[in-house]
Amino acid sequence: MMGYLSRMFYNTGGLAVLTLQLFKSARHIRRHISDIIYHIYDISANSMLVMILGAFFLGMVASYQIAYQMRDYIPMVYLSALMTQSVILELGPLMTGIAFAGRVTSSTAAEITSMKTTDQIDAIRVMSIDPVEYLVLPRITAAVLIIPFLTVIVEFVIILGAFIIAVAGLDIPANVFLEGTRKNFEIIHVFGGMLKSVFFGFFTVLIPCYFAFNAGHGSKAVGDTTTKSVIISVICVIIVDYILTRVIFVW
Amino acid sequence: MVTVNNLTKHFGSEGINNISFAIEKGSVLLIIGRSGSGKTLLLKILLGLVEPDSGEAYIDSFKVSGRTGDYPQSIRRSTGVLFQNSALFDSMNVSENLYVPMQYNNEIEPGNYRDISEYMLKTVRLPGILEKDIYELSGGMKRRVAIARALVNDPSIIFYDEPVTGLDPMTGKNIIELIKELCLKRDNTSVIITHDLRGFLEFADHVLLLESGERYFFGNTEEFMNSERELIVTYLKTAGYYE
Repeated sequence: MMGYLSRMFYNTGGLAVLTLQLFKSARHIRRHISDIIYHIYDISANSMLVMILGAFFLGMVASYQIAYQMRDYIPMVYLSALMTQSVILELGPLMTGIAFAGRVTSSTAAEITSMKTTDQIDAIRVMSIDPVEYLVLPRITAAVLIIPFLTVIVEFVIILGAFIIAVAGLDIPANVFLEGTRKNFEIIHVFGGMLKSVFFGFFTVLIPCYFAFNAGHGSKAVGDTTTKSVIISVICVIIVDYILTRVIFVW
Repeated sequence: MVTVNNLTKHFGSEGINNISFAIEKGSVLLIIGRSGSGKTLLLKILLGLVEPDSGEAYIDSFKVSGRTGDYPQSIRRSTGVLFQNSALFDSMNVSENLYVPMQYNNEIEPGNYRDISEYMLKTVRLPGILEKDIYELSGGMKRRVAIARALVNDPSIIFYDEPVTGLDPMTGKNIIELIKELCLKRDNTSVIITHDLRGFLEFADHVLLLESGERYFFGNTEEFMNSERELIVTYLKTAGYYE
């Protein structure tokens, strides 16, 4: 237990140091515009389908689940009103964060750990290049720039999935569903969800970079680092979500 | 000039112990020893990738040991390294690999990247492969591209870490010929790390033999060839210098 705790504190300190190095290297961001564009494309192209598919089914499940909870107590016309707020404030950003941890964290961890095990990171260092600036800065910048937009798309798709089930499966008239959505929709909530997602994007890329830089050698290190990064990123997304939810609700 | 004084680094029971040597500018140093004798560790300390426990290392009068965080940038820029497994960026093609070190060298105009890359590929006898992806190259070609990448910034000191390990004898021989040519044509200092000294002794000026992390021998090539110490004789016999 003590060993586990001390490792946790050690890694938290390491992440803090990496964050400082990242901010220090941010002054050279102009050198990496093309890399950032490439990573934005890579993240969007490779994550979009998974996210949309997951979001669509999540919307359908949530619609049935909320309808089941509401039966006999609350009229079904309030289904969309309840759905909208919880999707925009909570489900959308969380679903995006977790999908991000699955897709982006794993690929980042595997790629950078492979580079570490084949001396590519040492090669970067001896070329007088800062590996944090070269490898971490473009990836994190791309992630925090694109994740708010992915979140909005995910939120829209979840509500679309819920709408289809509400209309086709629960016999709620389309105009009633849309009216409920409109009444409970506040643009500030959308910004709140987007803000949350920026933190998720930051941590889900920072964590695999940190563990990859500190990885061991050989192919086992690639598997171990990827697994560890995904698990810790998912936990981190949930913890950060809790903290931000408290902060946003208080605010 | 490379100077190392009493360099010590331990990883559990492994490491290097009290290593000292000095070579002058423009010379060729051959560092030999068995696998695990500490050759690559010594290289990593010289490159500022590993902190030593004690001792000091200097390149061109700049202290480089114990400076993983603030390694002298002037030395970094004038150093070329061929890593054991080439360490090419496998997500890029050949030209992108060669451009990376130049992009961080303010003295080279971006307009010249292509010409310099083409010239370097000709130097390593691989013309016309600029647009090839790294995964399309054979082991020997990767080694040559990695040498070209080490040369693009016109370094004053080049480190070759096990340049022929993992290559077939014919390709290995060609790489040794190439390194020999580069060492003789250019006036830079070269440090070659290998466990197999075949082919390298002909053009090396000094030899450092490490055994279990200790300095077993350091001297010029002639002294090494004439030595009657048991381990040196074994090395020379294995390399085919004695009947």
